[in-house]
Amino acid sequence: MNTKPEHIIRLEDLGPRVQPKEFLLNNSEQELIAACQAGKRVAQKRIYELFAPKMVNVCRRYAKDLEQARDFMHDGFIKVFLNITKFRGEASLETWVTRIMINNSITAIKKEVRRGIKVNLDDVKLKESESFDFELERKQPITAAQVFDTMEELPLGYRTVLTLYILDGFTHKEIGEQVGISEGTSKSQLAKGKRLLAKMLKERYQ
Amino acid sequence: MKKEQRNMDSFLKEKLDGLEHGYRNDWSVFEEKLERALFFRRLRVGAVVSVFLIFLSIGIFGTSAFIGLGEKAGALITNSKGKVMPAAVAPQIKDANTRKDEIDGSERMEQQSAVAPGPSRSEGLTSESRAGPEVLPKVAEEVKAGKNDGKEKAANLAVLTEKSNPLAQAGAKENTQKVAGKSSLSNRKSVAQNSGSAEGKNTLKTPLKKTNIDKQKSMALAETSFERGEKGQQPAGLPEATAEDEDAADGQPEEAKLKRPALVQALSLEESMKKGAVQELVVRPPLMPVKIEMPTGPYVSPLQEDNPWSVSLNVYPNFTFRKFKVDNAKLTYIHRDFIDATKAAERGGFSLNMGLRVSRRVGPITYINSGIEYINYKTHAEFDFTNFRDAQIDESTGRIQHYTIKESPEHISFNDANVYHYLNIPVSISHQPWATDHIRLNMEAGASFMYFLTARGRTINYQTLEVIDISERDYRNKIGSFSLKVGATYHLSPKFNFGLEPTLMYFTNTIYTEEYPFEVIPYSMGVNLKVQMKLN
Repeated sequence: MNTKPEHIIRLEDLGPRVQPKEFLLNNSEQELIAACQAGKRVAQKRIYELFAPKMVNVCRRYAKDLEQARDFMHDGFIKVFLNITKFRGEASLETWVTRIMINNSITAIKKEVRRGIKVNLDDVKLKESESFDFELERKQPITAAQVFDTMEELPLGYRTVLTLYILDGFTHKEIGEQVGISEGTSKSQLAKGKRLLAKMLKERYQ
Repeated sequence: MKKEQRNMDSFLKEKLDGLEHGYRNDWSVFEEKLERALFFRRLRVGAVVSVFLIFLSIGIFGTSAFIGLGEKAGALITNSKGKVMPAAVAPQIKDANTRKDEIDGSERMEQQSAVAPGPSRSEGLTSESRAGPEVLPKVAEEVKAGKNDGKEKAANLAVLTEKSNPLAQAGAKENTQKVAGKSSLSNRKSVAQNSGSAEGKNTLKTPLKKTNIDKQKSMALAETSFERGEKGQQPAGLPEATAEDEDAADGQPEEAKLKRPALVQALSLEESMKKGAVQELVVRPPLMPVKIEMPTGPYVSPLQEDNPWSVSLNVYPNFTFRKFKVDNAKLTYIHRDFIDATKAAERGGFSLNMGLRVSRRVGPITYINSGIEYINYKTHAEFDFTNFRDAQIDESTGRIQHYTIKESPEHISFNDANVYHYLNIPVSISHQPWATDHIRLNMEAGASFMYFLTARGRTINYQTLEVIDISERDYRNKIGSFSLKVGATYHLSPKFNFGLEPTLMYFTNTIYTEEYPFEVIPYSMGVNLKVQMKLN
């Protein structure tokens, strides 16, 4: 290691002091955005560290595994930082970032989803005995991880539409535009997805 | 059923909304990706700007005003042998490019065929074969010397015969331009047929009406040639009357007479031959069929220097970025706030480089370049942060053991321009795949050896965050770099040119010695404005 002492310049010689901007301590969202728009790496790091734990979960809903979710998230954040000058503050930064993450993830799996929807034409019909008992679930709760694992086994079309509609609050029209399917297809995919999920949950945990 | 579906919605929301998947902070991995994305974005922007500027420069410099300026400033024109001469000295010789456009391959072949004598005289001799005496001896000489197989001569001859054909011009004056063009083409064709076929056919649309005087005179000249050359063979290029000529003469006799210096000279040549003044007008048929080679090589600008070696003075500004890298294994040697503060503070800057460049032309449009340059890399440092903790360093290992919070946080704020000076010895190969007389597109790739000279500016200590002079740091004395350039240059004269060259230059190593736990790798990217003056 370099042990050579480095020549020190006295701070007093450096002229008038400027008010500090402590990006690593307490700073408002507006300050962070402004700093990010100015290309300050510290602010970018702060935003990343603030939102990454949540965004990786958002991306995980659309990715096949955690590794792919991380890639989706990284690509999403790159888009966030490259386009942050376009952020006008109409929604909160978190909403804007989440939307970018979802859009980015959907774009990545869009082809696969559409292919899946075309192939998956079978109608899911349930008998009364196959439907999921929500009353029973309250007594014997199923964990979130179990529900997620079951959802992961759904065909990609069902799963994507289900996630977009229920968890991310997209309308069928928006889903149609996002995935490149009709509104009707989105509705039928959602209904079939729910039925299939109910059936699978019933079979496994009730 | 609907109720059940609603239940499913709320059930899934409740279960999955708060689900976490075990996130670990991977900022360093992401930062690399972000750097790469930013780099490619700059590259894209640079490429778009460069392409725009290249087209703009071609648009601006390619206008006639600039070309005129260039010619006034001593533009040169090549003759058929590739020699460079001033435009004023050789006004009748056209630019190689223009000539190439004017005469297409087939026409040139016909022109060339006109040099070779046909086996028999046809009725279809035209004004083309009436090239004046200034051409005749020249043609005869060339044929005699057996030098009639060069593409350059064909082109040269084409230009000269056209120039020395006032009768065709006179004829063209009467007719419309279209008709004139047609007849000129027909003339060439009939000349070709004259040489290629024993029974030359007249390709003129209008019937030939020859004036007696013209025929007599020209036949007399032809006969003279027969006597001196091979019997039964006719040298091409002898004067003969054509319909156009007659039209021209009939329409404006006085004017036509005035416009017939070639004919007058032909007659005087005939007289000279009769008197025996011209002894050596002998035309022989070619032993081999004449093969015309089309020009296949790249276009070489007439402003290209004669000497393959050239020494020039280069001045170019460029914009520098730098890549800051930290090895994760060495993080314990660096104050936690140093990386963020440095990354936030430093940004690229413009610098001016200059040097002496030696080029050697190794192909028609390929050069090998070397030289010596003084270059400097500038970064602007704008530090503005608060140091609120002190690193406790293990003196024996240099590692930071822990941090203690300062009683009074220290605010560090200063601006400075950090400049790193190097002596650069580049070696590169450049190729100019496209060129006009004045503009050349240049592609260059190479590497260079750089020797560190000095560094000036201020930064912060990576362990204590105190402000230091950058000259105190240890730098690698020798460092390498790669460069890639694509650009356009405008050549005002063989000695002076300027251009826009989008350039990417990347250092192979960090500028600091291995002792430092972090790396700073500069790279410059941008549109270099180059001004080059050749010294030899």
